[in-house]
Amino acid sequence: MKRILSIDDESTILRCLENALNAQGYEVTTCNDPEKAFDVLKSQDFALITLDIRMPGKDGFDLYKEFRQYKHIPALFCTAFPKSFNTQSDEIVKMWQEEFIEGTTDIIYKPFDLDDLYAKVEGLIGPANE
Amino acid sequence: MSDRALDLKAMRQVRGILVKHWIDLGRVSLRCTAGSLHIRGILLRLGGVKDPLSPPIVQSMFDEIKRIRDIKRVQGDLDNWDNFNGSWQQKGSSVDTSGTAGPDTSAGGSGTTIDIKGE
Repeated sequence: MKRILSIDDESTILRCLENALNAQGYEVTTCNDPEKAFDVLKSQDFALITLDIRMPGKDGFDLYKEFRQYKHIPALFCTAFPKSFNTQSDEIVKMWQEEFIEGTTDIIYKPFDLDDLYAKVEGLIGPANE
Repeated sequence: MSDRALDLKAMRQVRGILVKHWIDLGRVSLRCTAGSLHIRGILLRLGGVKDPLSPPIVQSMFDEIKRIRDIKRVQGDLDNWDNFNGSWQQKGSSVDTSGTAGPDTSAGGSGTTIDIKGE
């Protein structure tokens, strides 16, 4: 069974992701404290990370960069703010050209359909049972 | 390599091509089954990119996708682009292509399915 780490400061979103992905057979670990996310990541072998962007303390981009230095795990950004990905930010341009270009990172905008979530997750790591 | 592994590899390559062309990944959805790729949603560049998508850019992007070795068939179901006899055209619908839409930006997919590369 493939394990997914979901990081979001909103518990309702985490519950939604957990229920939806569990229903597809994935094992989901949730984390609502971005400061603790790196420790959780190191504690288990995850196939995918889902990341919110706007979180108190440490934002999703900081976590993503931290994670990618540790291990190139596929990542799915889940955000309600499409404007977060704007090329007027040098940080975004750098991430886009150096990390996203590998094709192992995707984005889904909230609110999303479950079919879209499943397509994004399966497109990154395949079905849960393979 | 299994079919599923090849499909995952192909989708990784497709995402890489979309990223190279500054396409907002949050507005498109990909599925690849046994080498048959389905792209749906809205083809739109990230905010802040100076040059908007043009037919030659879209053509070039799909040409790159079609060249991916393990992709046998490409189907497009795009809300804001159509392909007529091999030529790409932006649809003149009310689709928001400004890059400033609110959070309701799911990948959509109400367009007509177009065969871009047949088997």
